[in-house]
Amino acid sequence: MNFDHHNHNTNNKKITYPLSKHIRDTVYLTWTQILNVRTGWVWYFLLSSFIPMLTLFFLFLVLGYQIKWAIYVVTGNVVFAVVLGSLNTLAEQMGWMKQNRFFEHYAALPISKISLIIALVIRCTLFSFPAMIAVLIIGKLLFKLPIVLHPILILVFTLSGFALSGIGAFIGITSTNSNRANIATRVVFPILVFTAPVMIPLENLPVILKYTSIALPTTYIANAFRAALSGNLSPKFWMDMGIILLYTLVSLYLVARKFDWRVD
Amino acid sequence: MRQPVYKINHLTKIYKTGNILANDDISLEIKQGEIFGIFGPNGAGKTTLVRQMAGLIKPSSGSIYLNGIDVIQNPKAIPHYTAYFAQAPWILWSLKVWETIFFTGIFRGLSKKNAKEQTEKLLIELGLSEIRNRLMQTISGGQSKMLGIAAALIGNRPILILDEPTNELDPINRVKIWNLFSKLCRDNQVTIILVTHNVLEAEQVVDRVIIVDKGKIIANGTPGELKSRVDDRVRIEIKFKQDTPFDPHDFLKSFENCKKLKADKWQIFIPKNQVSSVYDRIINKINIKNLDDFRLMTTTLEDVYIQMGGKNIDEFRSS
Repeated sequence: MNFDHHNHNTNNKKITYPLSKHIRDTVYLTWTQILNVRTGWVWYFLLSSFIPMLTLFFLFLVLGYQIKWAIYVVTGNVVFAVVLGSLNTLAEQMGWMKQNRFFEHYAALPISKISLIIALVIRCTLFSFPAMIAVLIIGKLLFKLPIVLHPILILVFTLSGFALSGIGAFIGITSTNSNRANIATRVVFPILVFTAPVMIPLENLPVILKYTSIALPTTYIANAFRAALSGNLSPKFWMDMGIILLYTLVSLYLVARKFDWRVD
Repeated sequence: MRQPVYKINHLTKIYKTGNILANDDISLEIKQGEIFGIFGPNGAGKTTLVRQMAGLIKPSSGSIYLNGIDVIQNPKAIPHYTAYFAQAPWILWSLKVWETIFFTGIFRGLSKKNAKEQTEKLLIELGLSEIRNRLMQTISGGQSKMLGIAAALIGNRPILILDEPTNELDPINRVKIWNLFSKLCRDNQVTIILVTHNVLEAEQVVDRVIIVDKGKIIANGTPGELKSRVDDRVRIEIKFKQDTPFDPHDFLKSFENCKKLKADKWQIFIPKNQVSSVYDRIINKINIKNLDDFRLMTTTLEDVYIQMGGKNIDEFRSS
């Protein structure tokens, strides 16, 4: 073996990695994350899809298929699935990794924090896909919705997963352990799903929620889903997508700034 | 003259949670190509020390220089020189054994081809070929340790920081690992920083040692230097056969520092200059066929460890 004793930076300049290394590391880190779920992906699917599907069936049995806000019920439950599959999962996982010092494994390697965070976000988003699609298809069938499966849905799915995973990562790294992350997600979850126009139209929300929901990403995610499913890609749709992208970037920036995998 | 790779000055670590003083004013130098042992009782602060050296914990005060780089200011530099073997369990439980080694190599900057080649070589060298396709969650503790060592070795880092690498290993694998460490230092000038409780075995390979207790270095030197600082008497252990007709009690009690350890086992401490005469006396008096075991032992690094830890070896060994 060839052990190179002085092959790297030997001055005190801070090490910065080129973009190509970030991309390479992110690709391989994502790949290891995906491989690591090879024995548990069914659980991910069940975790993300069980409650939204149950809600769909419940509403269908109680109200029948001709309910007034069927599009809201279906897209709302898709958002429900994304929140569970990405935000909740990642928050709890990062809290658990922090608690068990699992970040040491990565901190001891010459990779950047942001590569790892992006890999985790991609993994959670990817594993939310099956639940999102399942909820959408079952919702369409139950409520006989004339929805359009436009290819833009993939972009909406991806960006929504990224934005909510980013928030999940932020909750995870700011929680000292998985229990606290779990409690935080239990608080955040109903706020995101029930105080925004996700399940019911904005005009039917109480006045105060009409204002507070402006700050919630799920407002824009649900809007984008509804627009994409009805094939109405108006400028408002793109504005909603822009805001979701902004949530993604801001949450990832905050995570990268706040996340310190070294113990203090 | 060998270059120092690590220079640590007045390093102190106080954990904020619980206000625990884990390392207290530690200063040391580690030279290129040496095997540097860090010994000490549980909770002494050994792991905290190496985790700071690996850049995983921020020190409260003091400095750490790695190849001249202030790594407290620039912790990202550390993984370019070091490979760290942690006590903590693996996180990627569903990766296969070979994948774990391979991806570690990739993250250390190896090309895919090179990572594959090195992975294959390490799987063979560390006897992991048969379990190469097993998931991490299905392998034993000892196999997991061997895998950790393989992952530390891939990428040819010139400094290995190994926290209890031989725990849970069977004797054959332990010998394999100690030989491997010696070879790496001898042939490749690799520096190995080793935390271990296997003091007797590590004594065969370490060049220099520190003993840490309650966060402080209480001894620092070569094994020879440390051994000369403590009790330099020779210990004789005699074990009689169970059906021996000989009653050794009165005879052995005539030695000044003799203790009965068990019904059939005795221990005598004697000064080095009396070894020959005492040995002759014992062998002449006790017929060798009455003996089940007879051992003559000089001070070991383990004795140093015990004595530096404030324990009396006579009492400790006979307790």
